[in-house]
Amino acid sequence: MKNRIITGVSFVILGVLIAIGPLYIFKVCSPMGKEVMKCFYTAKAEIGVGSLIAILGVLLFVFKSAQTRFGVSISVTFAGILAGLIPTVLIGVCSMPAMHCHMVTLPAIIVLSVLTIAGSIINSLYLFSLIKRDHLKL
Amino acid sequence: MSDKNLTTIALSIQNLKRKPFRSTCLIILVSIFSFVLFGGSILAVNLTNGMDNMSKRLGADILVVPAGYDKSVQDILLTGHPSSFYINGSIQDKIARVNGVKTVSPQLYIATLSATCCSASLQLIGFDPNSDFVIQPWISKRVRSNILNNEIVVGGNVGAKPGDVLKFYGRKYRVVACMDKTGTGLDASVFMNMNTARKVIFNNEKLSSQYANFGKTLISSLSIKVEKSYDINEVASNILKNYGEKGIDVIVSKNMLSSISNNLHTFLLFIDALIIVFWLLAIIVLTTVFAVILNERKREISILRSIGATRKKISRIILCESSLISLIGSLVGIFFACLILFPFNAFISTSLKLPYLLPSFLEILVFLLASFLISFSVGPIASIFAAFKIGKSETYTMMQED
Repeated sequence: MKNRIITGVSFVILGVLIAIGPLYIFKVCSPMGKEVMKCFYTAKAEIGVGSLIAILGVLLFVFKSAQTRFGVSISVTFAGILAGLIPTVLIGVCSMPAMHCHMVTLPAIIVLSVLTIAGSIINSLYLFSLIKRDHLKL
Repeated sequence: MSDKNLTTIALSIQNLKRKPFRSTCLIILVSIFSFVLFGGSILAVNLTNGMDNMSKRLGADILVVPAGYDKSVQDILLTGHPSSFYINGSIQDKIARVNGVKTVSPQLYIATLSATCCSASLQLIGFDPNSDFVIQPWISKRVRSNILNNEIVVGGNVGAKPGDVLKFYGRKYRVVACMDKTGTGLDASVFMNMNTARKVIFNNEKLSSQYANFGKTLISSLSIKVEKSYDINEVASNILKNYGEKGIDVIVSKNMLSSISNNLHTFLLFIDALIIVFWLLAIIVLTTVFAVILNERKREISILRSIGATRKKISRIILCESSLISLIGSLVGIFFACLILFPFNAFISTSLKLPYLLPSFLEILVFLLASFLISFSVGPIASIFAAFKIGKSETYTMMQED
């Protein structure tokens, strides 16, 4: 139960931060006129991936079976990788290092995605050891 | 219980698992120490590197700037915060005649507009390749010949590469080279020859009318090299005495650097003090906790002794527990330090408003290993006393005491 609460709440927080952070906390650059830049699309895409991580976090809390949680935890790892790839490879941010999106949003998303990936890998390993132990008992 | 579970490491892990709150608190304490140690060391090295680079780049002994703009020049050099300020270029010849002045070279600073969301304001710096002794030697490492008209060289933080075309005030300029990062404000600057820089102003209606009173030979600053036999402060005061009323101010580079260096010194002292405080705190808390644990676990230790565990084995278990706490704490602390220091490098540099330059990968690796070893040693050092005491105790006395 403790594991379910800790992991579930952690991933919900990380997912919400990834989803709304680029819009409200570590904001991307504000659009000027009609010109729309890469970081704007990155922020939009992160809403989707962040929401997915948050939902998977809720599922980790809801499901009791270690095997199901193991599967969900692996999905969180890949969603975390995707969250990190959006501002670095898939879409990107403004190229000038002095821009706010490059200086603050990009590192913030990288840090959040690394925490998501690391947390989900540790959780997966823990759940795997639980599953293995249950098999041995049987 | 299988044989495997009675190994030193397995027993230590079990002991740590049995008291999760205590183990987590001790791990957090070591991780805070390793975070402060590694983070503080890298921060200190970055600032020292930045300062060294700054003094290398600032080749002039004296800078002549318009009166009241000495802070703006410092901002350009330290943070790259763009500024525009001018004086009439006719003063160059007059200053060149002052006793002790060896070389004089003009610079022209133009702050660009952040026209779109993705193009931040930049500092354009025009210089005279024939007389320059500050920018040209640095640029010539990357550009074989002089920069031609409409060609630009960009600093390491501009985000452009050779062959790119950048647009300032409606005109396009070709990037011929990108400089290595220096950790100074020059990283966010764009360099061009004086002719191109003046054209940026005079080809723009708004700029040319705004600065028309400075004439066609307007400049922003003069870099001065002083003859070796003359005192720099004396030459600076002579310049100010003779031409001060013409609306100029002088900055003695040595004085500016020493004032920045003093700020840096205070900051580095603070980092050192923080590292020492956390090191002492970690050692004291861990030593106390292990001494208390020892009293709590007399029964457990006596049982282990009576089923055949030697004193050496018991000491090993205590040392192994503290080493595991140190190992996990050190790794976690260094991981979080890396997670903040490297991705947020540009943000930290901008916030500190001091020259800031990351060391090489190899240097970082050396610091990482050293920080790991120092923070890892905290646990074993703190538990040596407990392990020694346990090695000396008799099983019977311990059971009686319990």
